[in-house]
Amino acid sequence: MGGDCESNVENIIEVKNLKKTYISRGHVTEALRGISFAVKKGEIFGILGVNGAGKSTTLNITIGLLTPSSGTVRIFGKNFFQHESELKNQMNIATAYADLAGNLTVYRNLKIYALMYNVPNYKKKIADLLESFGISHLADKWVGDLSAGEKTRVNLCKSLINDPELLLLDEPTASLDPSIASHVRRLILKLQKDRNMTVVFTSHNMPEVEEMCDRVALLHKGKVYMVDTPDSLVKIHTAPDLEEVFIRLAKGELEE
Amino acid sequence: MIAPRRIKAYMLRHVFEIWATVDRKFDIIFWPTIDLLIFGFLSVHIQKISVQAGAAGAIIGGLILWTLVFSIQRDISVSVLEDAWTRNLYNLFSTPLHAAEVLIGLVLLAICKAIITITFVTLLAWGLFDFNLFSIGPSIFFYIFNIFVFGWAFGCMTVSLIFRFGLRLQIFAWSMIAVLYPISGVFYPLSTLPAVLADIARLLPLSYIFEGLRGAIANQQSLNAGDMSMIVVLNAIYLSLGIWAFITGFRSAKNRGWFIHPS
Repeated sequence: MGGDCESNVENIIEVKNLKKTYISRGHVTEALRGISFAVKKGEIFGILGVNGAGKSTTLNITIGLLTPSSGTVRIFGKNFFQHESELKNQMNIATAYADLAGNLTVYRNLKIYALMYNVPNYKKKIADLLESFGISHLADKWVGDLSAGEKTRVNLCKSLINDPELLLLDEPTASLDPSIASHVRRLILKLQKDRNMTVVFTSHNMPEVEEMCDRVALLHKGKVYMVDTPDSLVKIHTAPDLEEVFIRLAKGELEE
Repeated sequence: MIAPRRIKAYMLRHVFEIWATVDRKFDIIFWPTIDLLIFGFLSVHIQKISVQAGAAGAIIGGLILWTLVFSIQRDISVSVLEDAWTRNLYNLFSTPLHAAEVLIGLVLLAICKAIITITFVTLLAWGLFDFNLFSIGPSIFFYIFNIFVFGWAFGCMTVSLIFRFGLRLQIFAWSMIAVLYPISGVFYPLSTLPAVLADIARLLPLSYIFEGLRGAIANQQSLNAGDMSMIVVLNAIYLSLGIWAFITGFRSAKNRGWFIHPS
């Protein structure tokens, strides 16, 4: 079925026939087998799939951390791989799978990223971000000494340091307790609404996806199975909720 | 486009690391001091039983310049390893930071650290052993500059191997240069080496630098134009190879996803 990938000025991301194959000691792994989708401006777009479906690989290629084997990625209408540095100034990412420098304080880590993105008046920006995530008291603590939940929130501050137009979030609430996760979701929704920011989001938390995402791409074995709104996905599959759709997809009960 | 502010940010990340950790400070001062003390006292002893005038000075001078090569190449690779150990490569390389900016940042950082090391060790050698490295005249600046260049080139090659093969080769940051230690003529002339090793040594700019340094300290010989040319030509080759290895290694790391899962 695949996603709508017609070139459109309103599309912030256009991914076409993206493939990624790893070859290690003669063993070939196809992480992405030609995925295509488009994300519109101001949309919160979810990418769902079981572990190994290709969600993180897609995000990692989209932020320039991984070179695809073939295919194209256009961001803000430009070829990402030809304008990588320029485009990355308007993007950012937070992931549950990477840390900031553990031997540096929260403030110093954020200062480094503020300089990377040439953020004006970065001291105020850092103070505002820490306050909005309720972690101002952690500014002078070493990142290595923080709990998983605190690190996640610092990572989210890092991802918003340059006021990105496009924010990629790889399981951003994975290590947060329900109350903080809810606060973070509200904050992301507010930021998205206030700034018309585009957000691409991966998660294993289906209620969270239903709450936040305008549209969702279901990935299975490195391919896009379907792209639609969470409500439509539930209706099309006559399922009680998105979680049931996800489980059926994971079990291979849905046709490709 | 290379942006100086991103180079500054990258360097600042490592300056903060040095500021925060004891082991990085030890790298700059502690081990060079221990080496200097051991070889300094050994050279005092050699001077007493003395074989040749200036032999002690040649040993201390050789040690100081070797410390410089070792620190520069190690600092380039350890800075990359530091970000791999702390799983920070993901965040760093998701910013607009270029491979060229990383390279420039690493080189500038290595220069700053090496200047601190050489200043400290030179002053210590002067105070403890009455040896002044700069007494050989302006040629010392030529030697030091070329030591820097070779250290950068070698450091880039080591980083390239880490980019390509991962952390299982991290020990190379400290050990790979050691292969050149016995054959670079740091403490003894190349004529001491077996013919095969001496021939290999002649492919290294280091051997010409240490031979030249020894000649200047022990026999007040001035810099030989032929040797100078060899140092410059060989360093140009090694530096080109180092930059090429770094860039291709960086691409390989990105292709394998090493910045995402550094292992």
